[in-house]
Formats: sequence, structure tokens, C-alpha cells
Amino acid sequence: MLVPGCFSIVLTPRMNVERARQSLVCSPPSTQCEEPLVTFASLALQSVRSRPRSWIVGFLAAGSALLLTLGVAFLEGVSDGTRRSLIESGTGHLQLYHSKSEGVPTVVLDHGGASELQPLPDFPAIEAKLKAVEGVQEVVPLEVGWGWVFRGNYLDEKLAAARSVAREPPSASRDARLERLATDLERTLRDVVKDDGRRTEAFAFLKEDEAREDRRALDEVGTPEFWTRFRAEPLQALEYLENRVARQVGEGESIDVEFLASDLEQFPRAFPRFELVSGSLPPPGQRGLLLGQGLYEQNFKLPVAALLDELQVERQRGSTFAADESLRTRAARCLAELPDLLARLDAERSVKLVEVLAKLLGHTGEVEPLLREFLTLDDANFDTRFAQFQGELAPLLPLYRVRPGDTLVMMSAFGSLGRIGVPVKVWGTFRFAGLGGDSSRVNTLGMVDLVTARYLSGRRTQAEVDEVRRDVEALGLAKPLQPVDMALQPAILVEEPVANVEAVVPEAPSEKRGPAWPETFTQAEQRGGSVLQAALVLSPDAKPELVAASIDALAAEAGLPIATVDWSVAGGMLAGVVGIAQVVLVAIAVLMSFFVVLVSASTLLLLARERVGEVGTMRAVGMQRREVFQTLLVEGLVLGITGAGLGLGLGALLLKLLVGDGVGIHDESLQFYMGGTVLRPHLSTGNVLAVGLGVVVVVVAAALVPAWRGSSVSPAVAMLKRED
Amino acid sequence: MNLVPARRFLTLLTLLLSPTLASADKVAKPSGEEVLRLIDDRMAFQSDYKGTVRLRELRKDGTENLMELEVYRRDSSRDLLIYITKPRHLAGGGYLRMGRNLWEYEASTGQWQRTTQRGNIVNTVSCEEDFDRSRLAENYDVKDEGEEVVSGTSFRKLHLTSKDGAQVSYVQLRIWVDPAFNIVKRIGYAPSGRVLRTDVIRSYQPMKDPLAGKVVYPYKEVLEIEEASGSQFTVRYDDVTLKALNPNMFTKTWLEGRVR
Repeated sequence: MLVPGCFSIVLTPRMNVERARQSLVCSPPSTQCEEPLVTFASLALQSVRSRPRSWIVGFLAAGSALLLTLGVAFLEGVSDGTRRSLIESGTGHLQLYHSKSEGVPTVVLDHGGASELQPLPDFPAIEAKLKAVEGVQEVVPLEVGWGWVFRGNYLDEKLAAARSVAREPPSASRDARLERLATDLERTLRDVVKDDGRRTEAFAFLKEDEAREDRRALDEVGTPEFWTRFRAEPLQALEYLENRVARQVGEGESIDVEFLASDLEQFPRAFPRFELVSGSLPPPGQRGLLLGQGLYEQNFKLPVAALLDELQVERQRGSTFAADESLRTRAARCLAELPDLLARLDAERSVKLVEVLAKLLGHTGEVEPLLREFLTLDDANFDTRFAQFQGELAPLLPLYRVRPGDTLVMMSAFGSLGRIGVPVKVWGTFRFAGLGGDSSRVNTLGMVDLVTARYLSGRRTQAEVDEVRRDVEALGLAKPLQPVDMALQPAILVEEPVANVEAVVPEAPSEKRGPAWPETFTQAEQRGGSVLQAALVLSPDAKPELVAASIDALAAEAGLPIATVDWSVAGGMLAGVVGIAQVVLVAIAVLMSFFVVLVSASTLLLLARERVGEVGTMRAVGMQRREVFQTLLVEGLVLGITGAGLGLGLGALLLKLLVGDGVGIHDESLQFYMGGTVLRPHLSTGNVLAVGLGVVVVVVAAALVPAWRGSSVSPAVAMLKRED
Repeated sequence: MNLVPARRFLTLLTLLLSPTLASADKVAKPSGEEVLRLIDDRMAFQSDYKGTVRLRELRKDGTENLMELEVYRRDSSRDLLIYITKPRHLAGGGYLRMGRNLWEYEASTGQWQRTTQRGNIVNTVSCEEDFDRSRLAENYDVKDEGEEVVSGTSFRKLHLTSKDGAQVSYVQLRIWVDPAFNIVKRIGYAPSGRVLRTDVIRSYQPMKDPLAGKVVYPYKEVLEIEEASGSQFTVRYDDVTLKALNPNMFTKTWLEGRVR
């Protein structure tokens, strides 16, 4: 007698009713049917083995598992690489900030600018408490910001240099220097006049009278009388050149500087990837700016030299002048930048340059045609010319517009009423080693001390706030915010007694002031000023989430308004790249799942249709519909598990054989995300389980409809079908 | 003749006649273009201008800032010099417009930078135009949007669109003009039509232009509201004089000498 709910049956395509009946093994439900799943699995396995068409489903599962295994392993490698890059380039394992802040701390700015953070109250005390937390190695105060420096055109720069000499008190040395500058300016302006054609083209938008005025100014500076006047009244002549001539050479430009501010003594110690490329760190207590090597190369290098570098990179990637329009355009720009290069040469450099160029080109001549010939580049001569430029010409050229020791005015739009310009000395250039060379985002940053960053942010001291309040009250301007939609009313006419104010005497200096931005600071001013965030560097064996929990507990216990975020938040848009990659992988997995479901379901449906007769027979001998459904579903499960296992194994094998210790990353722009020059994909147990389970679930889901359809045939119809 | 009482009398007469002028307006209302010309004319002077401008910023979060500028203008040659005296960290810096150049001076380093005329003066909502001669008729086309009557006073409402090639801070403006041809409210728009700034001109200061021999009406107090941030700037023009300034005043050397 058949006992519903517990039997075993072997379904084969050619099975007849008698054999089926013989195959049924029935037992009491609770005692004799202890492992129904095993029984189903055994049935399903035999069924799968005897139907090679069902293997398609298994292969699909294996293929999906293989692709996902590889994808997940690479994604994990990228995620780990980005995490390490961020942690080791200033983010730290955790970022500390004021818990009442509107924003969260980021170390990488996105388009929205820096987050709104409140200063940490009494940072030195917080630092001391945090250092006592187990696992915390360094607490590095940080701030991120954005500013810009302005760079005039080459004539602006020359005139500014002449102006600073002309302002000096008269002396023989001052006159001698002024004379040299006048000679140099005269020569430069002769070139400007010669370059009239290009200028006319560039300033075609000028009105007729404006163009005439410009032309007249150029004519005048071409006369010997003007230079006689220059030597007699340099400041007056400079006004004329600055206002009438300099703008004809072109506009200046602003260079954006995204900066990371920190204690510049502590930072290199806490982040070992930081390395000084040129110059030195600012001495303790001295304000200063360090330029990322990438920023320095891209924005402060002589345009011709920077263009040659770009050409070299492209050539190394396999581009040629013959095939690549962009290379030819860059080569043409080298020639267009010649006036800028020539203007930066003094007489002495020019002479030396002519000597070297004559030797390289095999004939002598004027500096401009020689340089033009030298910089006329093609595939045949580029490699030689590039090597000659680097080896023999570059040492003679003022290769960078800013050098360690120069002072830049960093401008910032943040803070109080004013656009703030803070002069800051450039001490050197730096790089984060192994994180993508000069094109990497982290190597195009600037680094400043915390005091300069505070000046740039416009955050004021309490004394300054009080001073404003006093002044506002004294002037009678202390009024509350007015409603925007206030009613119209006629303007009041205020008659004031005629002010008896003396005309301003130009020579009268204003009251003597101390330096607006002192160059030095005390440790208390730096760390006790207003620190907005801090990077926590943990010991190698510390778990960031546990340390974060300890800090939360400390904050609750001591009533400190502090909180932390990890690298994935503080990394901003760089960390976001990992998130995007994860989303892309999930999207691919979902699409793949749809494909697997469709193909598997249709394959299994076909198979189910072929097996209608057998199902009918089984139903006829007493098998319940539910049991048929379960059997068919277990078939799907078997296919899924086998396929997923096969795919995972194959994936792991491929990773071991092909990837080994990692994949070398030669593209500098990718190195940051890979955590260096090698990408190391790896599989975690969790990801292996997730991939395996995911694939099995998808295949079983695909088997649901065929199992349902296959089991829903009535025995009579099925038997008829079999008769047919 | 004592000038001040005469001016007071004129002012009083203007105020008293305002309703009358408003009703007369119905009979012979000047066109929009004429209103702009009248406004420009009332605010234009031939003598050199010197004034102390105080800008007090009040942000939504209660933060307060104060800036003090000395403004020097010579409209005959379009020269303009702005010298910053407060706050302390900006003091000594300034702006100098000479011909087609607008220079920004950084006092702490003695650096000069050419800047754009459309840029905000030291990053406030005030633009160079705020301290410059009114050129509404020259720079804008006007569309009359009728009148708004508030508490019995009728205000002309005009919509201004910048002319091709005009260098202006706002490509669109909407202004409300009182019966005495004073702008009392002005809204500056972005090209998209978004409101950028609203000004309420609270008061003017009538004064005699010695060179032109007429009374002119420069601003006395303006409330500027920045739409995006909600910050409000009270701009007050104090110690205004109309008299000849030093001929060499609008030079870099003058400003450098002032600081040094």
C-alpha cells in the first residue's frame, strides 16, 4: 500500500508503469522516511544524469558563478585598495568630528565643497583622551579646504618685479637692477610689438577705438623716448605699461588649490606614504604651503616643458604624430607658447640657450627661430628632441614659475565678508608614494598648516567677533534681519551738513599696522585654535569598528560632543567609486539572474513537457502532486548546487592560476583605487557563500514554474498523452 | 543764499507735492526710458566723489561682519578707487579701475591682480556697479509694468533687460520707482529668471554738485538681501563729498603710498 508523503521513485524517460510500481518504496511517514530530502536528491540526481539537456541549466549556473566569483574578487581587491589608499593618504582609519556638526567630515572634496563642521572643543584634551583608547596610535588634526592663487601673464609678472624694485629707496644697487630690468623689458616689449598679428586675432572683440588706443600704446613703448622716461620716472612709466600694454599680452589665470591642512610636523610621521619631493617641511611653528608634485607639474611648470611632458606620456602609450591629431595640436601649442618662454629668458640665459641650440641643430641664429626649429616636432625627431630638452635646455630655463622659498597669496572665498588673501611661503613639493604618480588626485593637492587654513576659512577669534559687534553698535547698524517682502515706501531724503573733509593726501600713509597674517604660530594657536576634524590612525591589529564603539562609549561617559566616521564616508567621492563599482556589479548580477531564470525556466519547461507521461504514470500509482512538485524542484536544486560549486571552484582556480600575487597596474590614474601598483583580488568566505547561495536561489526560482506545470497534469490526461 | 535750508525746502516741497505729482502723472506719465534717464540724471555728478561706505552683513545664523571702504570716483574719466579700511585683515587692500583695467590690490604682499568688473567687491554682494555712476538708460531696455499703489503712494514698476554687449551684473532687473524718481526697490535676476539679490533703497542724500551746479541724489542707505544665503547687507554711505580729488589719485602708486 502506498503511503502518501513518503516514497522513493526513480523516474526515467523510458520507465513503464510496472517498473515504476516496483520502484516505489513506501514506509510509515515518521519512522521509515527519515531522510526525504536525500531521497528526493537521489531521485533528482538520477533524473539529471539521465537527461543531458538539463545540464544546460547547470552550465548556466556554473558560468554565472564563475563570472560573479571573478567580479566579486576583483571588486574586493579594488575596495581594499581604495580603502588602503585613503587611510594611508590622510583619511586615517577613522575621522573624528564634532557630533553636533551639520555635515560629516570628508578628506576629499566633492563639488559641494567642504562639509559644515563645528570646531572640536578643547582639541588637546580630546586628543589626550583618545590616545588612551586601546588601538589608537595617532590623532592627527585635519582640515580640508579650497582656495586659489592668481597668476598674471608673463608681462604682468615682469612688471610686478620691476615695480617692487622701483619702490625701493634710491640706491646705486637699486638703479643698477632697475636698469637691467628696463633693458629686459624693452627687449620683451619689442617681441610683443612683433607679435602684433597674433594679438590682433586674440583681441578681435575690441571696439575700433579701443584697438586704436592699444596700437598707440604699443607704438609709444617702441620709442627710445619712452625708455628714457622709464629710467627717469619708473613708477609712472610702469603705470602706463601695466594699464595700457600688459593686458594686450593676455589674461592671467587662477589656479585652484584643494588643500589638506594639518600639523605638518606630525602628518608625515603618521602617514608613511607621504614623501617630500623637493624643498623641505616648514620648520615647527612656521606657516607654510607644500604643493603636491602633480599640482606643481601641471600648473606651475613652464607651458612648453609641461606640453613636452604630455607628449612624451602619449608617445609612451603608443600614439604617434602621424595618426593622432591631439599630438599634433600639442606640438603646435608648444610653438604658440614660445613668446611666453622667450619673455621669461633674461639676456644671459638667451645667450647660453643660443649656444646650446646651435650645437644641437648644427647652425647658429637668433634664439627665437632656433627654438622654433627645435620645437617643430614629428615622429622622427621627438625622442631625440625630448631627451635633448630635458638634458641640455631645461637646466638653462626657469622651468617652474614658483620655487620653494617663494611666497604665494592664497585666496579663499569662504568665511567672513572678505575674499581672503593669505600670503604663504612655499616650502616644497610632496607626493604620496605609490598612489598614482602626478596624475593622482591626492598628488594634486596642496598641504598647509592649520593656522593658514583657519585664516583662509575666515573663522575668527572671539576677540575679532567682539570687535565687529562693538563697531556695528557704535555705527548704529545693529538691526535685526528684515522681512524680505517689506512694503514699498518712498525713499527718505537725508540731508547732511556738508562734510568738511580735507582732500586725501596721497603720500599720507595710513596708520601703522602689525602683520595681518603672522608667519609664525605657537603650538597652542595651531592645536588649540579651532580644529574641525582629526584622522585617527590605528595600530595594525586594531579593529576600526571596535575602536569607534570605544570612542562612542567614551563620548557618552565623558559627555564629549565627538563622533567618528570610517574611510568609506570620509573618502567622499573617491570612496564613492567603490560604491559605484558595487552597484554596477549588483546590476550585472541582476541582469545575469534574469537571463539564467529565463533560459533555465524554458529548458526545464521543455523537459517537464516531455515527462508528462511519466508524471501521469506516477500520479496513477499514487504519487501526490505535491510530491511530484518537490521532486522536480529538487532537480533544480541539484543543478544549482552542482553548477554553483563548479563555477566557484573554477573561479578560484582561475584566480590562483592567472592572477597569482596580483595584477600589475601601469595606468597611474587607476593606481589610487588599487592601493598601489598591484591589484590583489581576493575571495572572502562571506562572498563565496553569497555567490553560491545567490546562484542556487536563482536556479531554484527558475525551476518553480516548470515544477508547478509539470506536477499539475492530471493522471488521466497524462496517461492519454503517454498512449499517444 | 544759505544752501541747506533751500534744499530742505525743496525736499519738503517734493514730499508735499508727491500725491499731486502722482495724479499729474496720469496726465503726462513719462515713458520707461524717460524714467531711467531721470534716475541716471538725478544720481549723476560731474565733480569727483569721495565717501565712506560701511557694509554690515548679518547672516541667517546670526554671524555678523563689518567692512569699511573709502570710495573715490571720477566719472569724467571712469576712474574708481576703493580702499579697504576694515576689517583689519583686509585693511590696506583695494580696487582700482583705470580705463579698461580693474586691479585688485593685496596689501600684505603688495601684489596687484587684474580682476573682472563683474566680480563682487571683496566677495560681498556689492558689485562695482553699486559704487559707480548709474547707467540704467545706457545699459538696459525697459518694459513698463504699470504701477503699484501702496498706502496712497504710486510706484512705477519697470522691468529692465540688459542691452547687447552691456557689461552689467544682472541681465534682468525689476525696479520700483517712487513719485520723485528715486528707486526704492530693485531685484536683480539671473538669465534664468532666478532672483539673485533684492535691494531696498531706504534713503538718498541730496547734495549740491559744485561742478554741475545742480542737486544730485546719491544713495544714503541700502539694504541688500542675497537670495541664496538669506544674508542681509546694510550699506551706508557716509561722509560723502563732491569736490576735486588729487589728480594722481587713481594710480597704483597712490594706493601703494597710502599703505606704505
